[in-house]
Amino acid sequence: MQKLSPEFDRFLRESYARLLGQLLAKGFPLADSEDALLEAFRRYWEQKTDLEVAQPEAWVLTVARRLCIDSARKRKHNAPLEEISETSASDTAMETFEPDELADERLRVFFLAAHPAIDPAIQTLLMLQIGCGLSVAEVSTLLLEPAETVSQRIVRAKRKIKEAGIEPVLPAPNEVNARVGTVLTAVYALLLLSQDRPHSEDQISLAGEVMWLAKALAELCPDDPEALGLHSLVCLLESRRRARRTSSGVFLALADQKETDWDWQLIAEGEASLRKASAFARLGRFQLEAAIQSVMVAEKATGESRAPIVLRLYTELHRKFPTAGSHLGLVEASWRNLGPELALKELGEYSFSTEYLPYWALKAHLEREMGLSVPAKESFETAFRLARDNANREYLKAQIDRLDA
Amino acid sequence: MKYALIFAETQEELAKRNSQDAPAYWGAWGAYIDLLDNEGALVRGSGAGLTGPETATTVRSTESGLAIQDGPLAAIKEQLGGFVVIDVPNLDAALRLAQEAPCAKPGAGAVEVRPVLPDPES
Repeated sequence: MQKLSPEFDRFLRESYARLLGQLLAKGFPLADSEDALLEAFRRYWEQKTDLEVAQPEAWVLTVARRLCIDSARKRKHNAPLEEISETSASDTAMETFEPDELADERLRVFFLAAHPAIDPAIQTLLMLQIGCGLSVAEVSTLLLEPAETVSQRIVRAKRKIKEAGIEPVLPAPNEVNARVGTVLTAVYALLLLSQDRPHSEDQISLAGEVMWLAKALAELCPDDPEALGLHSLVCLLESRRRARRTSSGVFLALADQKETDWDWQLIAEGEASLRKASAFARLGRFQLEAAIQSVMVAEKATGESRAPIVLRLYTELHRKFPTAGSHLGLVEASWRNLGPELALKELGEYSFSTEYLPYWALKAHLEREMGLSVPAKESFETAFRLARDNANREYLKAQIDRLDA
Repeated sequence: MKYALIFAETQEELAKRNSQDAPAYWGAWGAYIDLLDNEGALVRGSGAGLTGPETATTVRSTESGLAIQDGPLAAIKEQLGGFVVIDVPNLDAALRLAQEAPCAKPGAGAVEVRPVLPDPES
């Protein structure tokens, strides 16, 4: 769908998964539900000035439901009449809409997108598309992947959903803990996306979605320590969103942030979830990451160094769940504990993607501290070439200029 | 919706058929088929247990003509041991029943769950 206006865009995005979940809950197939929903949104946009609709979501849902029934009728034109009469009886009734009661309807869309029968590499795409209501073009911009690839993968996943008979149902209470793992992993991928790019409108609305999901999952699985761990991590990272950039969008490291810019209520919420999680004594990746954030917050708030604890946590994280991010975290922690020489050695022992900007930025900082101006400048320049947003580019340019001076 | 549950068993698991573990092995499969039937999921007469892979012969046409070869389809760690067709509401239900199969136990093999093509008559 083309971009119409920021308000309408937000309305569409915030309502999409809720409404899609409602249609799926009524038993309409995914493809019909999505087509009907987009058409209903389009009609709403065209007619809204004449309509004076008190409840836009209820209006859109009503129209979409009728469209779904039409599609089912067209397909079943040979089917006996009584099969469709049941759905058509309430055809003209207006839908009621109680947003608070719809958490399950929305969640079922995410459980569908992160169903273990779907390729994990596609789950994130699908969550963004059917869960967050982003178009293929928007998903491809966000993930920096060609639109054609994104589109093919989504089509493949939707075909699997249809042909393998994957239904959009919330898992039964005794199965939810076994099923929540893939959803948590996919939400974590969304969290990284919402964090690692500058604060555009898209990022903020995605961050809101991640926050809602993490909270809903922690409430759905209160005895799953990793669900609580992810909720904690989301709260702790989100609490510093505002502080992480200056008003002109320049990135601020934790040490340079103002604590008064932090959201202390979110920090308290994150700490509470982490405490609950630790009571289960089953440490996992999300709890470890949340613990690192928690220690760094405490360090800054009290002014007392906890560098050895951070190093220990990163060592554990990288040993058990190695990623490019955990590696860089470990290198940074080594830097603070053991100095730049050892950290640079640790950094160099790995050779992952040479396209990974944070790698080059960290390398440059280490080299600069060691007085290696020429390699530092080269590393900053590589990072600069990889930077895709202005705030990052400005920051890196300033570092290069500093080395030139 | 109809799904085929395709049972793949490791060499060790298949070897139980000709060992002192045979009664327990066949007992577990009998109990499993009863479970599928009691759940109302089993499509009766749809499936079969298969004799061991050493009894298989593979037929394939190649560019140089017909090739008839001793042995099963692919020499992998797990071998096809049998299959059934079940009729259940959705994939989740099929996956739940697949987990109960004797060859879904650790080290015993795996179960592939695949939708059956619709009947061309309907």
